[in-house]
This record gives sequence, C-alpha cells and structure tokens, in this order.
Amino acid sequence: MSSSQQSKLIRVVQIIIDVIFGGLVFASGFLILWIIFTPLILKTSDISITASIPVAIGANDHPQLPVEVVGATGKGIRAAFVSDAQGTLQLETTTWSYIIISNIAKLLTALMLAYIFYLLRTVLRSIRAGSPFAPENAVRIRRLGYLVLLVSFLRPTVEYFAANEILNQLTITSPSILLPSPFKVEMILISLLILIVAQVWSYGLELERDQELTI
Amino acid sequence: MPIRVNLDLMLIRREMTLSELAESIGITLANLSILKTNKARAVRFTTLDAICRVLDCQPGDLLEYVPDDVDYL
Repeated sequence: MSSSQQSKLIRVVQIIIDVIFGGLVFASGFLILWIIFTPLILKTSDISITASIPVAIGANDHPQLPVEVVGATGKGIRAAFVSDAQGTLQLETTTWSYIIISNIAKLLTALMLAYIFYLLRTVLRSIRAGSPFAPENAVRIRRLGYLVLLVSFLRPTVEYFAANEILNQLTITSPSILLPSPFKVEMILISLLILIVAQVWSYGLELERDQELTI
Repeated sequence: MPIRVNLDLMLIRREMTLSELAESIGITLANLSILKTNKARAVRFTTLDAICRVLDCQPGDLLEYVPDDVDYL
C-alpha cells in the first residue's frame, strides 16, 4: 500500500471515529438530561416510560430453559431449540427509579466509550501529523487498553446489579427471569491485545529515540 | 552514561569550532551538538571515521570510559 493510500485510509478511519465520537458525546449528553428530567416528566404527566434491563430466561441456573422452535425442518433435523436465551426486559413504568437504574450502565458505558474514541482520535491525529511514535501515544494506547478492560468489567457488573435491584422489586411468575451473564471474554481479550500493542509501541518509541540519537 | 565524548577538548586542541567541524564532515550542527553534549546513544563508525580524519586523532582521543560511580567535574 502506497503512502498516499495509507494517508487516505487513515483519513477515512478518522472520519468514522469522529462520527462515532460525536454520536457518543450526543448520546451521553442525552442520557444525562434524560436521567435528570425523568422524575420531573413522570411527576408532571401521566405517561409511562420504558425501563429496559438485560435479562436471561431460565429455570434454575442461568440460562437453562431451551425454547423449542416450531416448524424447523431440514436434512436430519428432528427438533430445534434456542438456548442461552438472553434479551431485554422492558418495563412500562411510572417509577422513575427504575428508569434511572436501568440507564446508569448505559451512561457509564457511553462516557467511557466517548473517552476511548477521544483517545483514538488523538492517536490518529498524531499519526497523520507524522509523529506516530510520540511518547504521548504510548500512554494513550496503554490507557485505551485499560479503559476497554474497565468497560468490559464495569458495564456487565453495573448492568448485573441494576437488573438485580429491579428484579428484586418485581414479582414475576412466568417465565422465570435470570440475571444477565456478567462478563464477555472477547472484550477482555481485545483489551489485553491493546495492552500488548501499547507495549510494542513503547518499544518502537525507544527504537525511534535510539535512531534519532545515533550520530 | 559511562562513555564520555571529549569532542570539545579535541576541538580546543585543534583550534576548531563545532560549526567548522560540522561543515567539514557533513553532519548537521544539531547532531554534532548532541554528540558533544554527551546526549548521543550511539555513534556510527562512519561518523567516527570522519571526525578522526578531520581532527587527526584516534577514536580513543574522543571517547573515554568513566564508571558511573565516579563524579566527573
């Protein structure tokens, strides 16, 4: 790939990241306003608002209840089931605490993702400016790795406790609802990969310094 | 850094300025200044060869080993 093609590719990636960053900042701002004004809206009007929490359908342990798919046909297929059924429990409610609790994880995630994309933007800008191995970039990429790790732990944990808090206040007879699966291994792997890249970047920075200070 | 570059000493002995040396060997003044102020991490043999040729000296006249625990005044 020629340098002009690389430059164009970086420019395209930067535009995509800028758009996502803008969207995340907007979403965070909207969620903050939504959380602030929800009690006011519910107090002054008679409407109900949807609070959604991630849940799983199951019996005893999570999630164990296979759902049979009716009419699934194919060569050698006798029956089809959907297992590990996870989804979103949507509650039409007038209780503002449910809405706030259900939105906390989303807000935290949006804020952290916005910061992640902000860091990505700054890294890409320095690459476009011709100084990819700036000392700040190694710090930024390492910070990115830790943030992705934090998001991968924090979001499911907050969602878990939020869902737990709401489910404890509900009486559900059927189907049995379970708490969401807490962690996603993929995100943890990605964050570890980013941390490895940060380490390699630091080494590259050291090599560049060596090169610059070799007379 | 235990290796000390005595370029300033050699320049005084040869009554030459850093700019004159830089011009003679075709190295930028900034790079030569890094070498003179002991900020360089490595020296190429080609650079050493050029400096020794112009200053008419040996590499040992330019480089000196100073152990870390010795205070250099």
